[in-house]
Amino acid sequence: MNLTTAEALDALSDEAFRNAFSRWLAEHYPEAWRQPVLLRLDAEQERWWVRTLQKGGWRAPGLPRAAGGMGLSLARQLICRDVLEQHRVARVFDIGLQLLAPILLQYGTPAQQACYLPRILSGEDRWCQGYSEPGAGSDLASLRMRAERSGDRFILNGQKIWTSDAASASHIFLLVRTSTEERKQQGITFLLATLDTPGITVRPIANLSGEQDFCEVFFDDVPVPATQVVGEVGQGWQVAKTLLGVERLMTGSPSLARHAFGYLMRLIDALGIWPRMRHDERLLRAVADLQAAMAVYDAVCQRAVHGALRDADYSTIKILSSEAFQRITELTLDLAQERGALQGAWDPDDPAAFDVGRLFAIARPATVYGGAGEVQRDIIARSLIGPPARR
Amino acid sequence: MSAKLLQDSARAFLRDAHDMERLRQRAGHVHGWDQTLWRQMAEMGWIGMRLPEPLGGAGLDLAMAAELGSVLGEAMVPDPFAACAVMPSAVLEAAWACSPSDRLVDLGRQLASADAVLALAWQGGYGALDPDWSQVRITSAGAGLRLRGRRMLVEAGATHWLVPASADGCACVVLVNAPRAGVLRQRASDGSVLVTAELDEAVLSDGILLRGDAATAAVPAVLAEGRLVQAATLCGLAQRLLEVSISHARDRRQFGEALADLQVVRHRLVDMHLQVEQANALWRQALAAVDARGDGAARAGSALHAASARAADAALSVARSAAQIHGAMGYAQDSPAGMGMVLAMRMVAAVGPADSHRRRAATRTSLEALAR
Repeated sequence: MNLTTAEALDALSDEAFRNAFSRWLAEHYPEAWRQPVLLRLDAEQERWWVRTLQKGGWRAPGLPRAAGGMGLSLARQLICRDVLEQHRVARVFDIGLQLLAPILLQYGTPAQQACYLPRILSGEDRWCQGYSEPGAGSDLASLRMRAERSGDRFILNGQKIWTSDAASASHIFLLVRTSTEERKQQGITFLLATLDTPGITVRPIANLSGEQDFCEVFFDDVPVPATQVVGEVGQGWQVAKTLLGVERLMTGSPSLARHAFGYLMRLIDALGIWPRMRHDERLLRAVADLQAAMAVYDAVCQRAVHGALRDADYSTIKILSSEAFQRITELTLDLAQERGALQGAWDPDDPAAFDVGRLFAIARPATVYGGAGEVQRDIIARSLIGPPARR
Repeated sequence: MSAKLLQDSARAFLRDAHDMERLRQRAGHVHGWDQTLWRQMAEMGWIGMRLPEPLGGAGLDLAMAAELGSVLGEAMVPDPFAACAVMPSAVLEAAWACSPSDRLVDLGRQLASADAVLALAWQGGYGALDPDWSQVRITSAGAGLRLRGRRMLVEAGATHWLVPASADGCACVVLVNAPRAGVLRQRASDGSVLVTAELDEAVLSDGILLRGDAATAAVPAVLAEGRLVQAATLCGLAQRLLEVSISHARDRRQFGEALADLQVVRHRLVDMHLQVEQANALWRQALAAVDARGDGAARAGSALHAASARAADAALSVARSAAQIHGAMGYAQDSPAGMGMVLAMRMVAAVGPADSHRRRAATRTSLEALAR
């Protein structure tokens, strides 16, 4: 039996399904890449991995079968996610699948879907997300990059920033301003473009963890065909809010915090300080926060599976998970003493050693991306208290 | 009966039966405890809800008791549901499982009807999470048996004590009348009264309810059930204090605007809410762990300690924030925020010290399960 055909998978119990994916992963995932958090697959590695998943029939758990995905229930998607985490896989952004595919499914034209979905699934196209601008971060709706209609094209002028992977991507999806309306959320349009279009300049920005995945992207009279608009012109804000299934919860999952905690325990054992750490109040509080974040996340996933998500659920888990992640890496940096200031693993001959400073650095933006902690608190406050009076 | 139904009827009942005034008057009672409500709770079937049916109870599961505890916390009911309903019921149930007797049926009836009030008198020292069995000993005295040793912080309203003790090195749980002599009575923050005693009491006839392994297995499980319900109760209290704070922030205007329009106040309220969310998720998870294991709350181990620690932290931190948001009113004992604070102090003490729970929650095994 070919276990990875959709029908064969459906017939399995949850347990057997979990085992099937675990076995497949153990067989196909490169051992050297089992470095969660610290390792991020580069463009070439990611493309190889995406192709391998695709060939094995494990690509796109949440995407409907008609669109080439596995069409799994939310509960099964969560199992897939859990198996990957247990296997300690490296970070993969896979922006095309995670962020664009759900949008194309809901708002894309048949032509757009037929053109882009297969190439996302095969890893042939690599997408980046052009949302943030120098003057529009958490307050994304203040974006100003212009797209002027000119016949059957839009002409783009302006700048995007903090665009992850723009240097290695082939395509970009964008929010641009096509008109100025009373509400700033109106007059925004969602566009698709290829990054080799003349007039686009990409400039990488090195980040604290030493990666170059951030970029500035400049647009100077860049022509984009009107057929590349997704959804209605001026309705881009609604379009951009679409997320599919488990992906909506993923940024809020405590998985980074749990991996970081694994590194913390590794450090504690490598330094031989467990006997004094086991009653250390900072460690106990970090554990308590992680246990709580996991319990809340599980409760939220259960609500999602039963279709009973509450408005602020994502914000809640995002705050708890990102703050637990940071606190754990802070304690790790502290316990590592001078080791934390070294680049690379603190002892090249010790297999237990790892890059403590990088772990700490990677945790810094966790309370910023996917909506800053302060913005998430505003969202929760709205549902808890109601909107604040306008000043 | 569904949990929802139980909660709805409990809320409706408590709206009439309990209010701030009753809470205020509590301090004037000799036991710190007004028996009227306890009797009404018995009539509602709450005191015996966990008792097996042959003992005159409703045989409802722990989840229902926890849901009810949460409503009692929300309504700021100080009466000791976990200590004097849930825990003694669990003792009688364990005793019944070992050897059914008419004596147990009679005790069950008295407990469920509130004719007697039972409490597990287990604590021997401040900060303990487990009973020290050898601290109280059973000795022969003439024709009968006597119980001698120290037990502390027992609800003054209890008419009978269930005491973990040892008889020649064998663990027992023993029923005695609540001691009258040689007792220290101390009023707690919320007006309730707690009793510490150097026991020298006659063991009642058929008073050894549990013996040996059955006793050493039952008591930690009984404490765990009590703590779970207490954790749920603390969550209910914290939720109420959050709601009270939100409505105060909406009503109270300073510098020309409502407190609820100030971002710093809004974020503070959100952080209170996050504490409650975490505490709620943890006690529910601990409950699931108990159910999944199917062999008693003691086995839930790490999850239960995590839930107890967080419930204690959440209740106190929410109470502190509620007091701050209420301004000077938060320092007035008569305000809901002030009442909530004194209740939280007392109820947190009943769940056990948070740092000890945190330590128990962080066993090496549980940490390895957390790490990935």
